[in-house]
Amino acid sequence: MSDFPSGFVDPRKKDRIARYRWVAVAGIILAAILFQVYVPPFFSYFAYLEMPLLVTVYFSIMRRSQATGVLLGMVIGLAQDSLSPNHPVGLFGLVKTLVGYFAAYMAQRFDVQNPLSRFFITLFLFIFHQFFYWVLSSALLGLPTELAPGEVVVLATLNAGVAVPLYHLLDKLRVSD
Amino acid sequence: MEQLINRYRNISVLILAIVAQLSLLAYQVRDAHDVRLIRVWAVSAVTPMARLLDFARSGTSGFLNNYLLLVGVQQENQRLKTEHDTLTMENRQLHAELSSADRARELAIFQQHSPQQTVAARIIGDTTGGGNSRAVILDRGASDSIADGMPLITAGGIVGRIVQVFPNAAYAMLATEQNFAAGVISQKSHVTGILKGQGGSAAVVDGIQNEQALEPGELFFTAGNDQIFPRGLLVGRVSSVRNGRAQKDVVVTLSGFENGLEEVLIVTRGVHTPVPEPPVVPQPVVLQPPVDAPPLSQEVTQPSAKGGSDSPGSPVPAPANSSQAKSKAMRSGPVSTDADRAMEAERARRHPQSKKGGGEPQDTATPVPRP
Repeated sequence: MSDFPSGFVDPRKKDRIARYRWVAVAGIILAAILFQVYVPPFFSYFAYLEMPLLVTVYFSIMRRSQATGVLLGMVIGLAQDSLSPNHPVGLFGLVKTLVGYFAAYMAQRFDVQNPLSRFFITLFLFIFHQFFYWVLSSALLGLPTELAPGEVVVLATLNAGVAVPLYHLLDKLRVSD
Repeated sequence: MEQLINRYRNISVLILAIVAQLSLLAYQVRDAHDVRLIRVWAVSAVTPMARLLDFARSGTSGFLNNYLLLVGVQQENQRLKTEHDTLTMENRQLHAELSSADRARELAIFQQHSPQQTVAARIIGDTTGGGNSRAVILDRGASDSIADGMPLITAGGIVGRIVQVFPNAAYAMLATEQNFAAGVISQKSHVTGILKGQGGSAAVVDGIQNEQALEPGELFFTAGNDQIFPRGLLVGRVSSVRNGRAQKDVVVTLSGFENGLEEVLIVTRGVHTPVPEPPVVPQPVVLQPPVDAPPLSQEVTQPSAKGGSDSPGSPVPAPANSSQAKSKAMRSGPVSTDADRAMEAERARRHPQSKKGGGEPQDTATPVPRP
């Protein structure tokens, strides 16, 4: 029994598993990575968007499979690491692996069709992503990384705000049962 | 066993993924090696898409800049047009000011050297005077001793006369108006007539009979017989002349309007001056060869100050045997005609000591009629 209101936990909906065409999944992941790597240099106001994270969260919560979330997060994170110059490969991979795992875990307990729950899940996972990235980079690798809690919260809110309509668009790619 | 695997499958995958990536990180940190292979794969995988994305971005950016964002270009174009118009107007204004300054300077010089007593005035307006004729408003009036009937002139010639005077302004009728009239006289033929305006840029001269000689291009001056304009002011040049029923139809281009009309001189006290004589244009003089002397060369010469006989082109007699005779012949030529004999006698009378030659008269350039 959950302490959340009934709208967040719907026994009839929470066991549903969304299915997508693999081409669509691959294309969206590739587009998200390209967006993250190539768009901000030209449009700096898009730099606050963490598109690979949003895509990882979306597919993890919609597949509701922790193993799938782990693999998805790992692939996306490693690709992001690989395309980021002078960046150790595995750092984003580790963080997004954990994000995928926990996103799928949360999707098994909340109604991820609800925009509000999507907003808060994304908000929480964005903060987790930034915090865990800071822990790994500074503590494990000794990289000079700063963590500004206020900025992280603002960015998390912005990303969560973008995530809700983005997830709604991605829902259109679902394959009906 | 299968149940156990299924139960811990998710956490096992997570642990495997984390361990694998930690090992990868540890490998990179410990040996400072880069996992080039993974980067090559990733870059190779995304490069085609990146190129497509960059093509779309550059195309979109170019389309936006070249077509959709032309609002700024239009504004800039409008600004440049406005600036161009402003500069063009300033340029015209400066040209007008420069021209006005030239006219004013020309008028000042004329005023300084003219025997007429004048007052400079500026045309400040344009109105309709009495009798439907157009009049201009001058900035001089009774306070400047301006009175009705005073002539208006410029350096080029007469342009009108005062028709109405106010304390600080005056109306003037231009010479181009139909009600304008002035007595004029031609420079060369000295024929007199009455200049009348025609409402345009030209005027006509009435009162010249068909029998009187007048040529196009001849200048007209004021005759001084109209009690308005003093004698000797330039009026204009005859542009066309033809015989009418009894009088000639003479059209005159008024020279006072040639450089525009912004500043004028009001003749407050006129002084009659003589009409200048037309300039003398040197004409070629033909001297026929002597009767008995064979022609030696072309006998056309120009008049010169030293007379015609010692000029290089003057008629030369037949070559003499001796150099002295040749020299004499070069100076005076043979005495073979009555005119030559008369000239020789006159020369001997004036200069008896130079009877043998030399001392040519200074006014013998014109041919002497043959008997």
